[in-house]
Amino acid sequence: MNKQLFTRRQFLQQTGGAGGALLLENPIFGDGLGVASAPTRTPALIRKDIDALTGPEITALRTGVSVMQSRSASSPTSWIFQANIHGFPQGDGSNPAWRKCQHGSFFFLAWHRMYLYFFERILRAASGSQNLTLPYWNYSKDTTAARALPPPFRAQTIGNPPASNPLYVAQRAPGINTGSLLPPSAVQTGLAMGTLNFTGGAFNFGGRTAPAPANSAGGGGRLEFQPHNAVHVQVGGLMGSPSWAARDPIFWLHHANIDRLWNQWLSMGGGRASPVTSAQWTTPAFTFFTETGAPVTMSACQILNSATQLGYRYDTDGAPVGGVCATTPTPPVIAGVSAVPQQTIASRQGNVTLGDQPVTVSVALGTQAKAALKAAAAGDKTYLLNIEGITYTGQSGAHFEVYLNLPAGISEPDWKGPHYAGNLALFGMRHHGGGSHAAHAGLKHTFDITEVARNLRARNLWNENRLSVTFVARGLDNPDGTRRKPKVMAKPKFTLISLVVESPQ
Amino acid sequence: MDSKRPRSSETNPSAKGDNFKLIKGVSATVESRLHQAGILTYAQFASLSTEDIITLVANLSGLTVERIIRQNWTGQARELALRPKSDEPVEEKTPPVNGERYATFVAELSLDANNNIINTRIRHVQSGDEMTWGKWREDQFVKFFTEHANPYKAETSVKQEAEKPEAAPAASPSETPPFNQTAVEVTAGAIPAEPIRDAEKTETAAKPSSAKPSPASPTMTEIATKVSTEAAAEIATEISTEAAIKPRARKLEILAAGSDLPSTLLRHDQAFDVRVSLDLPGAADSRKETMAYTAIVYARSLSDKRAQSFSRASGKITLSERTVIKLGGISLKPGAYRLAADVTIHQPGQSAPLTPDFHIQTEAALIRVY
Repeated sequence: MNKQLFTRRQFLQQTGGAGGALLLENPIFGDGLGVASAPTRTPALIRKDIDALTGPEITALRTGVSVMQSRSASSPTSWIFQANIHGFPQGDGSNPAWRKCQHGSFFFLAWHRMYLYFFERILRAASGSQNLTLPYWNYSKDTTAARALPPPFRAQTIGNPPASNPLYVAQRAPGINTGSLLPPSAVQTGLAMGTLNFTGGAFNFGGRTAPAPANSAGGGGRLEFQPHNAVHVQVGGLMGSPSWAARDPIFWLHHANIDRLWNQWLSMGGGRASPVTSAQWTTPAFTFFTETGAPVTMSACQILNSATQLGYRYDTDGAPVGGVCATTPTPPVIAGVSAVPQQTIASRQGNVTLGDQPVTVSVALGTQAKAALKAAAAGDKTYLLNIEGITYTGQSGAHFEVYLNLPAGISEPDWKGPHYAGNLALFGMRHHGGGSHAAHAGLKHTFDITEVARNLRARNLWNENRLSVTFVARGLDNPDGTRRKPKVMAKPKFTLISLVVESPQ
Repeated sequence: MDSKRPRSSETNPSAKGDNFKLIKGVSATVESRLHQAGILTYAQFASLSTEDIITLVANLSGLTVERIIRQNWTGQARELALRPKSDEPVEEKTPPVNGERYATFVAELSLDANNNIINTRIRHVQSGDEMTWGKWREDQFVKFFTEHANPYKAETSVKQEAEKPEAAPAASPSETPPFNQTAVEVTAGAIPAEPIRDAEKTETAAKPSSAKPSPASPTMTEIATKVSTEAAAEIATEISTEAAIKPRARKLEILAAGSDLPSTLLRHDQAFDVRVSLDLPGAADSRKETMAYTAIVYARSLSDKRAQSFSRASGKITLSERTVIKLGGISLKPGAYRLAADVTIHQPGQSAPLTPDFHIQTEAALIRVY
């Protein structure tokens, strides 16, 4: 196990000028300079699929979790303190390092990579196993079993005589601890992986730019929405709320998988790259804690390449990927604002409540809409579907598959069919005890329906006069893979649905 | 059926938190899940939303949002957060001073819609012993009192205090307010004479006067003060009904900075003001001239019993029947405290009170800082 903390000189040598320029006096803790330590592992440690772990490796994982859980919540290396770094209800944050998670912006992936990295170091030290790494949960593998919660996390007790299993959480969604499966539409990654731009525009891989770090900035990327949000919602319980999610041990495996998908995405090429030229992305420093409990700060330039900068890689990784920070980052731009002209061509207002049964909302396409859609169909314009005024009072326990022009009478539509537009999964949109503006004005979720609309047109399934949007609740599937009737706990509502055509610049 | 509840640590050794089972409706399973999730104190519990609670204790049959709201879990937690915990008032560990000891009890009655007692629960704070039984059994109630006050019976007066009629009405059904549940705290023991006169709260009384520092203590800091002769309407009403003879402190209130509403639960990083309301009957008529005042606020920690002065203010004051002195910008470390104040009204340039009656001590107010 590498416990070495680098000196400032060593760190500067490792990271070069760009990284060195990011070292900051810790403004929160004041005493002592927190300098993120770079790894010396050669070769890098490997994060494995949870299904590939050996018995002793599972035991080491359990030991590390158990030791952390036994520590006082006031200790930065304790389970609760680490979880509180991600989330804790507003109003009782008694530590300035808590409630720092980043959702809904391009900080999402970078912040969680740092978070996992330091957590893994603490876990490794607690386990006593020098080679322990965070495993990942690859629920997207092409097997039914992959969608089930990994077996080591399901048993309430282990061993003989029985002892409590530190990986078990009773609050999870009913059935998931007994082998129920995440629904297939919750674990699909195709839309995110097929997106080329990390940030910018209405749709991207890693989230929209943001002027500054924030718990929930409302501009999540496709990977955050899917599978990230949907898996949080489906596992439910603690995992279903940003305030409590990191208390569930499966959180760390879920996010290791999201982190792995970032590497996978980068390795796909085609112009895919992290936003290393954005000063807005590379400058902010975030505070974490080492295995000794010492606060350290870290910024995005220090985590671009997991293998060379952080000393770990995934067993699915090829050559190290990540990029290098620019020596002269681009100046800040106004964040989160799309410069692409948009035209709302149809909309419908009203109070819509989503529930167990499919809900369909029809939007009439008037003369203007017909003309605009006709023109758009011939060009390279983008169709957007906005769901606005979304409110919810608690966990829904399900996500909602969204279909366009779904024929009547189909209660269990195929998400792989031509009508499927995406998922509405309400996680991280509202944060930490309610959120302010979201609670009053409601939230907005946008779907890119360009390809769906074109496919429907090509199959003569497009209706020139009317667009129907159907929301189908999806909960966990039965362990044998058969579909289970969903049970929506807290029913989300929305007040506006609109169709927008976006023209490229 | 008598039952002695287990301490939290017995059901969940890894999480030593407050005893949430004192909150009506909270079971051992709910408590365990909250503790495991890192919600360990009443103050933390009180800050949770209903949505948070549902999330943290999900999948328990019969647990609904409506039930949590109806039973007012967070409100109960807030009340408990304000009370000394069993490990905080360490009277039993404190060497006796002038024979003073305390035995503190919490009695809780569950009532039906007609105010019939369904269940009685009583807890001895110092030992943590607790008994519950169905309906109302006065003999059992008194027996529990006397048994647990017994260690303090070295002085005969203690037993007499414990058996005083004042203790019983606190749990008497005839005086139970029309709520589904009520809880009172009753203290048996030798009540200190001054300056605590906190009979309304009936909580264990500390005695800050015994450790009251000198006004000239170098630890005191001059702070911004605000003196107001405007009185709240309710104060005027109260005064009009009694022709008090001597100047006295009406009340001491704790206000979060920027707020006019009294509070008893504050964050440690939250500054607060102390507002002292004085009754000075006849003063306005007899002493029109401007006087000077010196006010000292001191806090006594319920955990270590140490008293300290932490705020001092002085200035000019025009006497009136209803005088309010406000000391601002105060903060305390986490813990439970009793705050009290000394106010001396004197001639400018002098330190002695106008008369001995113008050296006024307030009752203590309980504050919990987290």
